[in-house]
Amino acid sequence: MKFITKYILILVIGTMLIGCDSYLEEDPKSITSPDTFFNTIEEFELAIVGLYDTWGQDYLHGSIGLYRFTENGADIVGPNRNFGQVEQIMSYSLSESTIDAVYWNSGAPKTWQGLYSIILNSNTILSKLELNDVISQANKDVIEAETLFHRAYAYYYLTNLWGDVPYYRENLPISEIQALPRTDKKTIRDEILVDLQKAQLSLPSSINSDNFGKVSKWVAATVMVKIYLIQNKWQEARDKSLEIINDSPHKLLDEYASVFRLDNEYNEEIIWSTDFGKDLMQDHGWGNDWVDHFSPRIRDEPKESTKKAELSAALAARNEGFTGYGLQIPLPDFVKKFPLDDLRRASNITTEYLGYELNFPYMPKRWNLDQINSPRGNHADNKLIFRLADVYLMAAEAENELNGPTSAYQYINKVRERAFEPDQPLSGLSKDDFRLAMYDERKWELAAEGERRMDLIRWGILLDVVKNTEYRVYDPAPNIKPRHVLLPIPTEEFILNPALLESDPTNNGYR
Amino acid sequence: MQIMQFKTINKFFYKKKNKLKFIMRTFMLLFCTTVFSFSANEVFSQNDKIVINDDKDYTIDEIFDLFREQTKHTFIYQEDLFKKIPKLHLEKGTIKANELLEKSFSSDKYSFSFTRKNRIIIIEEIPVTIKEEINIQKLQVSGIVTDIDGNPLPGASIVEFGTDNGTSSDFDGNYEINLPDGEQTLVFSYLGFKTQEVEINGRSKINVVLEIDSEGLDEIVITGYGEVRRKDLTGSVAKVNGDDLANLPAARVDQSLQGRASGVQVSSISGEPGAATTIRIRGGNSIQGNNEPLWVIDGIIVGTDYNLSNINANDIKSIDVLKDAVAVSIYGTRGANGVILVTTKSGSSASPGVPNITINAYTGMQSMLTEIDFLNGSEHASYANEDAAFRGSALPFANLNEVANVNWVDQVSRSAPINNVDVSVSGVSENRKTNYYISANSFNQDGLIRSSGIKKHIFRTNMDIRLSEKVKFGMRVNLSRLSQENAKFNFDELYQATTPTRAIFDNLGNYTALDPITGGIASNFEADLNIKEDHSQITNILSSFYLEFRPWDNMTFKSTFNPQINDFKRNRFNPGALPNNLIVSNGGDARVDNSLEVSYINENTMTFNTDIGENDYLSVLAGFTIQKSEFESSFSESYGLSNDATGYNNMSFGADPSRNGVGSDYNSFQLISWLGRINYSLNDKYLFTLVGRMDGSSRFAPGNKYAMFPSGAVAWKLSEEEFIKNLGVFNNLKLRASYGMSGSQAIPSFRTLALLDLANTSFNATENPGVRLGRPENPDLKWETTKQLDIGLEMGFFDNRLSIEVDYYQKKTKDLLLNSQLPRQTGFVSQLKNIGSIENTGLELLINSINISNDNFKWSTSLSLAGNRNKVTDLGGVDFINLATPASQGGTGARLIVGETVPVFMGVEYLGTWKSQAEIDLAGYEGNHDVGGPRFKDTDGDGNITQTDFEILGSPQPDFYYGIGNSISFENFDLDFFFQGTYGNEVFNSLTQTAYFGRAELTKYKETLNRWTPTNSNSDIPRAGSVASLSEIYNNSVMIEDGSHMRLKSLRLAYNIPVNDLGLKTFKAIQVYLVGANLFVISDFRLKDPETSQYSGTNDNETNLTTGFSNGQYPTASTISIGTRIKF
Repeated sequence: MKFITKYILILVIGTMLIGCDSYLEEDPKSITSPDTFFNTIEEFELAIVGLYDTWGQDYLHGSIGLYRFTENGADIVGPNRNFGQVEQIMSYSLSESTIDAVYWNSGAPKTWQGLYSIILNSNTILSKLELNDVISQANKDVIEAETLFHRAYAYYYLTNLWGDVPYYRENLPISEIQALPRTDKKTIRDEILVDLQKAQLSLPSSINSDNFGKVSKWVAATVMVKIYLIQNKWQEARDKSLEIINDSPHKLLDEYASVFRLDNEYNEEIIWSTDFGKDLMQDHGWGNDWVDHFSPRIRDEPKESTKKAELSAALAARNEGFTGYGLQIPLPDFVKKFPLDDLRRASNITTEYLGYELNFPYMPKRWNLDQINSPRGNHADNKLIFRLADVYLMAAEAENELNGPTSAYQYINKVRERAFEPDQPLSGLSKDDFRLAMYDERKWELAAEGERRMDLIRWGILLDVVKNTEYRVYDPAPNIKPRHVLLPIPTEEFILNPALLESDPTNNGYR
Repeated sequence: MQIMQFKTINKFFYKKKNKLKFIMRTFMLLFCTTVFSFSANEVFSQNDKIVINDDKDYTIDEIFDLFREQTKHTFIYQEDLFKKIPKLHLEKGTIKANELLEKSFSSDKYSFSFTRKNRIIIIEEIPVTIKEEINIQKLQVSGIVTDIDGNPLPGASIVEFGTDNGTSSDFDGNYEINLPDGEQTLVFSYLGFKTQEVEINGRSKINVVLEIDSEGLDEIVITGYGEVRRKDLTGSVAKVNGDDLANLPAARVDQSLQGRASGVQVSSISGEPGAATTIRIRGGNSIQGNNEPLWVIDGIIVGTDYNLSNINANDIKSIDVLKDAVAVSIYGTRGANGVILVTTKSGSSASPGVPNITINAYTGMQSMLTEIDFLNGSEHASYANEDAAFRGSALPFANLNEVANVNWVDQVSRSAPINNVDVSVSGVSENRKTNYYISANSFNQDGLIRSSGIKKHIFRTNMDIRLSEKVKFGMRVNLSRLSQENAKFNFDELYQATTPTRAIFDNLGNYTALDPITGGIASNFEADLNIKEDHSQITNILSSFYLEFRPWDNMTFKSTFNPQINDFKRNRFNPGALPNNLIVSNGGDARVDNSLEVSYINENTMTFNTDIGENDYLSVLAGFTIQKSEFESSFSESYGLSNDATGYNNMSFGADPSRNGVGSDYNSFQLISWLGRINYSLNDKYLFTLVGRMDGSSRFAPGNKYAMFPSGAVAWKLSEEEFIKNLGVFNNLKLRASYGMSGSQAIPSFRTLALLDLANTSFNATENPGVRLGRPENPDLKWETTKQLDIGLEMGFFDNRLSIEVDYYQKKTKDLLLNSQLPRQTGFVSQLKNIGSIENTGLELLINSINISNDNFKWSTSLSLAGNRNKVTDLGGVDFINLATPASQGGTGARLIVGETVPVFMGVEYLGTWKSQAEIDLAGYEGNHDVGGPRFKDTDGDGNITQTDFEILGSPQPDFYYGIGNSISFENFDLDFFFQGTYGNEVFNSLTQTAYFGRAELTKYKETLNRWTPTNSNSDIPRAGSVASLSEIYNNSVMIEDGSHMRLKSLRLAYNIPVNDLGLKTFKAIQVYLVGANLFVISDFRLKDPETSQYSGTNDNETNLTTGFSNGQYPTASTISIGTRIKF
């Protein structure tokens, strides 16, 4: 028996000596942990690229993305049939229960999360940057500026869509973040304006072609103008607009249609676009499908159904196809009201193609029928975020509110110059009339570019406009309520974090 | 010096009413003498005398001391050997040595006899009369006792029939017995083997081969790191014999396991050759983690997802399924889902030096088990036109007479052959030191769908070599090469998306590229079959090498080393000639995947058996094991291949470098474990087992790496109690109970660490690398723990011809690893945490009955029946968790809800069609609704049909599942047939969303012929065109169907050619057989076979628990095969 005991002892002790703990160490060769990252400037740049990638996701600037909330539910575009992803906002059946029902993969909860993902990642970058003592201060300033911009831009959308929201600027542990209540949107906006000003200082004035798609200081400035307008800070809004108009390298193009030409996507007028490339193995998939929402689908067209094959052949001969979704097309109201003599109309509305009358109107400036370079679901078309015409119109708006129309005409007429032949400059309007003209001018100029619904809300006319707009498929007029200017916080969020109901038990009026 | 051994080992002999008594003793006696003979009287010379100095009681030890002091004889024996023998009273004086020796052992309890090979057998409790019998012994018989594989059986009992005269075989299986003259019969018995009676007929050498008693209480059950007789089993273990699985036409053995073991629910996922099954032993425990059982092949822990195609089913001797806590906890953190132990064959039934050669071959034909009824071409065209007309759009089919009518399922499927040949050579070397089993197998199964199938080549070598009396070496090596022709398209896409109106070829004879109804590009599956390339090649080496050291008969040290290598390669090529590539001038694309997994396990165990006291028995197992596994993979893909000739073999032709891709991955884990088991048998009536395993895993963070999983069991052999015996009803009655813990590792490697995900994006249309926080870290993660209670009752009646086993179990799993939802303001959706718990309770019944047993007619029936009830008891604070979204835009299809079954199917109730506009107006639903369109129940009354209206519509959990087998043998014919099925489960048929409700370009059930039309306004099948978008069709009650079914899983008719009668001396046996597999299934399910599943992931968070979804998978085959098995 002694021998056995000895043998067992040797076995057990021997194996203990091998050192179980070292044997059981993980060797995570294939994964990157944030703890060991953020050492070099290149690593910080990778993390910043990650922020851009988030913006390109389907729930933000990819696919239909934020257009659900910024274009649908207004008076420009909507789907040609019932479409679950926008039904709640198009028909204003938006409620606590339906906000979650918005298509789960890219709906409102996902948008909310995506914006906070940018904030979380930005906070991580900023805190790691502060700890880093290898990178030069000048380089640190650039990294900080770009990161500050993204965080501010995420809060810009959060406050626009939901009003007061959880707000954090530090690299907090998850356990703290998940219990944060809502912060007053005024506080958030004031603080992100400071961030944006700081970002504007250190961001580059122009972007070299390798980096097309990244932000310049003028992007930060543009967001500042938009926040100033929301805050009715007319002076600041006008000054910042003029700063962009006067100091930036951006210029208005001579021709409206040229702004949207795919062979010159980074033209002078474009301040910022989310870049997409065909066939790129991005983690949100191959290329992008936002264009498909604007392109027709052959099953709907043409009006004379017997000519379907003929149209298909004609398209095929041009290497084109109606392979889109038909889910973001001009509303009847928009088609009826768009001035026929406005040169911008052709870019915004077409009801025929290659001589075939179409069932539905489409928006050629945003569609892409090219089947070779832009097949379904794999488009290279950038999604335009800001362009200079918008800044001109914002300058006009701010100037009119500040001093009346006198000095505002120059900005609005600058945009109108290329819209009419001969020119139809505005003049002799009262302050209120100027405002109304400006409302329409923005609609024609910036149709389906992600501004309309936020504009209507900012001007306080969303309800009036929706009630007086002729829609297709949906009838929101009886449903829309004043609360609909904000989205309800998705139900799951306040179930998981009851503190979200502390400051506003009504959840933006939805409960 | 001559050496004499005294030896009694593992000795059986008759005592009172033929009851077998089991003792175990070993000792040696060494002495110097000149003469040796058989009689006790003659051990010492007549002159040897011993002087006794004192009147007193002497112990045997003291007497042996006297021998040593006064004679030249010395005894060597184990110290405490004689402590139970009563003291002997001796009076002062002298006594003959032989007389003293005889006196010493001639108590009531002991006797002794001598054998030729210098051994003395001490026999306990033999009446004194034995002395006289010994005196008259004249005849001596010797021989070897082996098992059917030629392995010697040490300690087998050899007893003269009707007497207490007996001996036992030695380490080499040799025995000798002295018998009185005359006609006698010897009774050979050994635990786990059928007792055999052999008439001597004057022979002096009798070699006996004992057959394994596979059905009786002496059946050997493999328990993991050991084995035990069924009657001594304290846990719940189901056993399936290899014979039941042999020659069933299937690529994987798990496919044949279905219904064979109670409490083991096997469901096939797909009919694709080589497709894995889903196995749930006593229900699923884990939500996030893997619910598949652990597979252990010849002691090699291969994990939960080992590709069983690598194993030749005909190499399998038996499969043991460990179910309850005491059985599984020896596998610690990996045992919670049950353990399936596969034992392959070893040795042969051949005599030493005469190998056994078996050639076995079958060939079969597979055909489609069922077909689904869809609308044909013109019927579908009418539907599509009706749809378009109702919605005011163009009619897709201007001329209904010109519509194609292609039965796409017929088009892509075929009758597919299945062939198997295996050859095995097995035997025992002449010196009996080596036994071997070597086999080769070639298996070829074509898939029912063209361009799919599997080819297997498997070689196995099993060998056990005795290096010396105390040292044994052995190996199990399985080499396999699989070539899998992968399915070229998802069959459910064909079911759903390809209507009969889609022609295969256009007018020019080219493959059509467009869908006739949508006009959009859609895959042409006929082209896919003919043009695409997609195959996998797997080379697997699974091996085990062991060294066994047995210093004493009751103690064994065993050390094994089990290396495993798996090499995987997959080649895919979509040529530019594919119609959907051609139409957009895409060029071809190719992808190659490579992976290599290398792992080893080292296990070191010690087993120790001993008697304690008279009737008690103790067995102890202790062990230490380490395991390491490393996995490396890489892939490359290339696009824009202008050249279809080289495909994946020269991907540098890819003309589209911006799309080309490369990637690699690395994964590893290590495990260290200590294990132990104590079995204690008290009075042969009460059995106790204690088991424990401590595992340390690399997957968890420091502080949580180690976990201990103990369990214990008691069993009471009631049939050994007098009061039960007196009833005269039971041959066997055993009550057992076990309780204990087992674990589940449940998380993949590196899961506790925070992660930066790749987040590449484009600038100026060029890809740039980027990173983003992928998940928060969680160093607190730990094991999932399952506590299981099992109460079992085993009964045997009518001489054990009817045996019944009933088990009740209750499993509670806590610390479930769940992606706990985080408020999204954290930037994340969820964090993996140990929250939540699930309960499974169930009842299992196993009945085996030998209905008729004559010499030439035998009929036996077995029935296994089990029901599992499970319940979510906690989800870490949330009320429910959404699982899968099986139907496009249909919402959550399965949900975990606290208090409900795991999982439940969710959806809205379908109320039939709207019958009038007034009805629509009265209901006041928002949105557009048409007369004849579908009406769903607005449960929450908000006027909107959304997911808030979802109700529980069913569950995939059956009330019970069962297997019924019958085995009939009549003269030379054997007939087996086996039914298997489930009752009371629901199936979520997600194809119904489109095939019943809407979207004209998708296939429609035949029943939609009876759809609502203005002239058929009572129909509850929605009118064509009433569904514009799938988002209008949430999951609903029409999609939930009864999944109850009964399947004739196998039918086998075999004829054993009477080779002896025919004088075919070359052959030992020839059998020809006809096997039908999956001959029919009885079910009301729309897609006919309710067993296919939409989801197959074992590690997929969302789909792990979501069994019971179907959308028409790769069809199940019905197979008829014929074969022959020849033994030389």
